[in-house]
Amino acid sequence: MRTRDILGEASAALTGSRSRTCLTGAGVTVGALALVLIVSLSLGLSTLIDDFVSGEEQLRHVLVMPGFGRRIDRSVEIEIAGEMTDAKRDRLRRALMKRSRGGPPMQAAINTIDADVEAKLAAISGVVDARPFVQDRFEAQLGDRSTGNRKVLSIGAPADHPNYPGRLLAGRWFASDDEHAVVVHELMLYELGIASDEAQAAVVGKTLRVTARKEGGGMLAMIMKATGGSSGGGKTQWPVLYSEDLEIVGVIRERFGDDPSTVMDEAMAMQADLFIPTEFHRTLSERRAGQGGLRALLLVADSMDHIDAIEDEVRAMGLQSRSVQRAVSRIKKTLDVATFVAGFLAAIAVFVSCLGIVNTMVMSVLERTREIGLLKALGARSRDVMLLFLVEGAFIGFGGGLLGVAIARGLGVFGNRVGTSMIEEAMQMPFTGTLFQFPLWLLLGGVGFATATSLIASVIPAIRAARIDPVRALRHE
Amino acid sequence: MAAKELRRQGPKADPVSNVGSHHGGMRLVEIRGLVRRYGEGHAAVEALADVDLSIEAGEFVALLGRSGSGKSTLLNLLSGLDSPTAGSVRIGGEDLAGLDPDGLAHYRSTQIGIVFQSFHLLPGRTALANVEMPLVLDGEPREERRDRAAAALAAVGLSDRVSHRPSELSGGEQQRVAIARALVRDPALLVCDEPTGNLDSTTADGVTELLLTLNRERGVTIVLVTHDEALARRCASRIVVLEDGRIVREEATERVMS
Repeated sequence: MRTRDILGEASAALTGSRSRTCLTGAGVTVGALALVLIVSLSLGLSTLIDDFVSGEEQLRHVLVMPGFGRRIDRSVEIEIAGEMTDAKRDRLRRALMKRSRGGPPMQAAINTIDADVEAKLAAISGVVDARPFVQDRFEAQLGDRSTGNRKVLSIGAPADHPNYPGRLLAGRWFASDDEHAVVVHELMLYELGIASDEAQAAVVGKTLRVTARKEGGGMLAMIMKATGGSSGGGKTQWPVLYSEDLEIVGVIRERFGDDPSTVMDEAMAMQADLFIPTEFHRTLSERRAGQGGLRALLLVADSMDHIDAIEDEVRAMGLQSRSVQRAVSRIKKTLDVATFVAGFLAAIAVFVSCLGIVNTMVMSVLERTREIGLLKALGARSRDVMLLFLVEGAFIGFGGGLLGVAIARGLGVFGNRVGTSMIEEAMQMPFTGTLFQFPLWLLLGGVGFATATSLIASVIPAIRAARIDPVRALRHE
Repeated sequence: MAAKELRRQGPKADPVSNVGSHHGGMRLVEIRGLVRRYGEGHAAVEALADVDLSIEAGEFVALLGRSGSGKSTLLNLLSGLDSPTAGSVRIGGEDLAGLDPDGLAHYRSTQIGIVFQSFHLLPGRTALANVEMPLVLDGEPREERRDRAAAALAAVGLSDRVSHRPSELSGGEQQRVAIARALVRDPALLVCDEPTGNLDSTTADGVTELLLTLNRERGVTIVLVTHDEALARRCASRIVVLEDGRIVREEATERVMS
């Protein structure tokens, strides 16, 4: 038989039993629909992650932080003052230890990022830049307005930072990394009672006094209370380490969704109210005794391929490392696993629909036994008969798959609208991404997969049809 | 191995004139020591036992016998639908036992035309599509097979029923469509299994007359299986009587119909 005739005969047979063909095809449609939707959502989410860390440079960032070793038992250092028995003193000490829950105060950065380590990190093969991250907390005073006991976060920011200057509301950005200046956040000014744009712009050129006090809070606060440390008004007053007057050169606003940024910068700058030139900030931090070097150092690799090697070397130095690339990789792996599991469930749906095809084709063979016998009596070869049934199965798969992909495409449009609306509402920012993505390969692959699985499901019925004995078949009623 | 072509050349050039064209002047069918046994051991049933039969091209042979006499089994073996337990069936000198399944399919497609008692037309197809089917199976181009199918329908007097489906045709017309389908490939041999068994006497006469015409005027070699001796005597030039799987009598006849 000619290919065209086989296609025509198969098509005629399917249209001859429309209801059954439609029902069987519906099963394939549901399977293909589920599979394509799941893959399209996975693709969309994956792209969203990529877009979130847009810019190849971010994927070359490795954030290095001090390495924390094993927990240090500092209980022996805690002095419990007052007249009491040794048992009570020990019990109070242990109670303090217990309430600390083993948090950071109980751990010491045994591997800090001092100047030597910083130099070594910068010299790691593949590292093209090393940007120190400096952070501190100060009390801020502007004229007679003060943040009081609330300490504001300051960060060191480079003069050539690519993103921060774009968020300035007034004034200017730093001229150099060692400039004796500060850029303040509009929110801090608001909290100081300076609300309007004009009033906030007017602070440019004025002096902000920052006051550093000895580290406090958490465990040490409890210890201070327990040991009778100085307090005032019910609140602990920590000893002043130093104060510094800085010229306010600019006012900056918060970063929002559309603003350019890098993950690492934003992680460090989150909640920052004061932006101080990096090198000058380092000199301030060094005045804090026991600071122990940098809070973090951002290494920029020359290539994403070197990230793993750089991270290995950083960890070998006893330091912690974080990289966007690794984080993205982990998220994507998790997404892949979720997609695989969901895809597996969808594949079960396709498999079940294949059982439907097997059932339909077997019934069709039984019902058409006499017709098959006649075709064989008229000269049909076994492979012609087999091809007929295979093509019928493939047609069901193709039609069902095509419909499934088309419906998935339609649902994807709907899902994108709903998803966009939900994301914008949740994140309070415009969202231009696409949750459900339908590249051509997915559309073709969805139809192809449905067709192929249906074809496979038709093999056994087709073989049964091909083996029909024409003499018996022609007697079949 | 493909079956040897026994048709005369030229059907594509003139499809109408070649429907059922004459193949006279040679021994077309030669059956020797044919045995067909079903089952094994004590349960074995011998449907045909040591049958020898020769048929000349252009003959009209009636296989006569009661139900279970083995005539349909002989027809199935002759048609290449069944394989013998022993013995041989030679068509145009070629042993069917030497053909592989594809060769047998080709043989059925090109050398044999089969007419069934219950017509066996495809219900959803038109008369033309039914007649076309053997040509479709043989991979004939669409235009040529349309012409040949239309010519075959014209040859059985159904030019005006080309687009009718079987359900729209009378029993006699359906059997004529089946005969046209059997003849469309211009086969060497037309085998008819009780072709009038499902028809009333008037319609049956028409079909019988058609078979006679095809045999006489176009020289189509016909093997007619029937249990109706009167029918056999009316149209066959030779009667072969089967009983319990054996040929018990052969006789030449003076055809009653003319």
